[in-house]
Amino acid sequence: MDGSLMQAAGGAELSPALAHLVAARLPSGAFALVGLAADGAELFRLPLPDRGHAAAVHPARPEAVAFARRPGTFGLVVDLVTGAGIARLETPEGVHFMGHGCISADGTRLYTPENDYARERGILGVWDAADWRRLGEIPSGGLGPHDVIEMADGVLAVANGGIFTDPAMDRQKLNLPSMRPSLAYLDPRSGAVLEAVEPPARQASLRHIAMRADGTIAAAMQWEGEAARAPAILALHRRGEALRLLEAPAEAQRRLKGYGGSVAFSGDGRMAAVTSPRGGVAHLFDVETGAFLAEIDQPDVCGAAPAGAGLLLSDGMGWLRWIGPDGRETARRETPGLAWDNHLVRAGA
Amino acid sequence: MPPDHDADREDDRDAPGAKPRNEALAKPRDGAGAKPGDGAGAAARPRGPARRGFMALGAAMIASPFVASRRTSAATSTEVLAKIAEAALETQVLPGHKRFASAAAALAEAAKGCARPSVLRAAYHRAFDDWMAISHLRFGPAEAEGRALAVEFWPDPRGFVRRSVDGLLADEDPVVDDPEAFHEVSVAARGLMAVERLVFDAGRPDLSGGYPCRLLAAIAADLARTAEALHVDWRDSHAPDMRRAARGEGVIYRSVEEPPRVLYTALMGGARMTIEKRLGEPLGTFDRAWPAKAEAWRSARSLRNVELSLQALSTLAECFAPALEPEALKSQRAGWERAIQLARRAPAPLHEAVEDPGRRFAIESVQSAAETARERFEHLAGPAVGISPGFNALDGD
Repeated sequence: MDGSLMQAAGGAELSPALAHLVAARLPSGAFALVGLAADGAELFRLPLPDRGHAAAVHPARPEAVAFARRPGTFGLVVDLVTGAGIARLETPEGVHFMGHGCISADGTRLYTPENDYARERGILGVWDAADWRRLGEIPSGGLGPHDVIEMADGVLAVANGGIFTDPAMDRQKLNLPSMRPSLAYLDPRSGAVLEAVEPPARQASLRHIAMRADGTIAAAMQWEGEAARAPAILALHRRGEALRLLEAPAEAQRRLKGYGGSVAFSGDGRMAAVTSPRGGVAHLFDVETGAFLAEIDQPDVCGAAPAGAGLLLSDGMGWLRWIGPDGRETARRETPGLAWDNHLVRAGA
Repeated sequence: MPPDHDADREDDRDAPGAKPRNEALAKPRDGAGAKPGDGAGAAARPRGPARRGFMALGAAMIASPFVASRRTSAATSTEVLAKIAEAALETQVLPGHKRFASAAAALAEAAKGCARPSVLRAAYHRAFDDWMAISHLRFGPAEAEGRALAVEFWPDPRGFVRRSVDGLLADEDPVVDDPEAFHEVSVAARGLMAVERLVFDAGRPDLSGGYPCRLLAAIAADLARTAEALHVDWRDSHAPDMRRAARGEGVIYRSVEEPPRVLYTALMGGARMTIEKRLGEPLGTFDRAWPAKAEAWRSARSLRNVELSLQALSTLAECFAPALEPEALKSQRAGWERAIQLARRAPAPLHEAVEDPGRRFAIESVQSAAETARERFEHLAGPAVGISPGFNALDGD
């Protein structure tokens, strides 16, 4: 179902079948980065030293970087053909990864959102994607940067969650009353903030982003106030415009529990999906009109990525579900005993 | 109410671990790789005004394992689930928050103009006692705005409380004169641990007047405000909603299963806090104890907090009685009772006992008894309320 994807995956060496990457917990309790074919068949399981979160795929070479779950300090570069580890990225002292990263379209740079807790600031680590050296870092434009995407013009879109944590205190949120989340657009060289938008509700931690081919960003938020008063947790944004908040009718909206776990556009770019593992539902919206299209029941659903013209959803119970461009399920597949972790990443998007 | 604070005690917060339980979804298994459009699957529910291209699939939904999996184990009836929530509200949640709000208000009153040290200390201990009765209820109102942490900033391995409080003192920051602004200062400079730093620390400032007195008053007033907000949120919003959930009419708690589940999760988190943090942190390893990691050791509350937290957990566990067989109930009551007894008899203060090979053993016994009680509860009550913790739902990232 994913012809276009396979072409997009580029490099001839890359397994023609690879469609998605996803971190998982195996039945043994160990963790792995799993490669999936378009029909969900497992192509490989690469062991990870600890729980993973998301991955970044190289646009030309069959390589990907798997990131540790926050507040992990490892990023593992793996060869997607042989499964061999190519390099291990380590954050500097006083800094940890946030579980996400992206490689520039020209294949030269890896950008990693990081928490510089020693200096209480958010940064993006900048790495050479050829030899995986750390080149330096730039400010992220806010606290708690979580997700990053490179746009067509090289500008970096960053989701700054706005929350400060310190690994010595687990993941406890240390500044909730004063948090200021933002979607920031950064100059990739200087880190200068070219534009930034903040959710109208300051306690909506803007955590995950996805981009459509035309540069529209979809952002998923996690509400830190009382769940019953949760506002919209999905927003769309285009440079120079205002943030558009997308919300379902009240009853359905409440089922999200104010928690957006992941966000994706459908392959045809017409739908935006936000998942809520806490609510056990995914919501689909029409990107053009902002209309609420459908609610999908799926316990512990979190991963979401484009698949064909539609979407693929994954959950902690081991299920994968494909949603067609009409919002209807087209297929599903279970791997008993396996838990798909937070994010699905399309390989070669 | 003011404790004889000869003993020392501690407290913490929860970090529920996710255990995989996949049986929920495994029930109506349709084999791997079902074909597109094979009918059984479509669980997309069209809602709202825009239905273009979306079919109503009500009948198909019912057959979906994704819906079926939400059901609690058939063994526990709706009536029993509602009873659990009602018992928790009546015996712990509502009276506990009311008491804490009133104790925090009394502390604020004592701090206003800086009462005599003995009065301040007694008011602090009463507020901390009352907090321990509810500190494990870290969802809903306590989760909003990070209120639980604003009440008690602990564990604090980096010494944020000292740093933040000392920073305000050094700068004589005028933020103390503006309650709205103070509500947004670092949580480490707010709450009970900040009060402890000012009232009990060996290097405490002179509280007879001036800036330290204004700071103390600001912290206590802010704490009272947070405690009142917790109380009001429970009384006006969460408790009524939990009751409506019994009839399937809840807005926050969407089904009759949800209240017992969040209470169960809170109980497990609170137990881990006591076992791993209140006891585990100061115990450290046999070769190296960490006395200064004990909770509220400056005010000699560490062991008292262990005992009070075990009592609070036991009270909440008792609310699950309607779901348990008589034998199971007996076993789980005995588990908590033993842990509480051992905590009561353990040698205080805890931060000294952990360093003394002769007394350390008694603290370890409390820890192991608490772990036994926790495991029994998990084993006996978890299945009764159909707990199947989510890998992603609990990750929170």
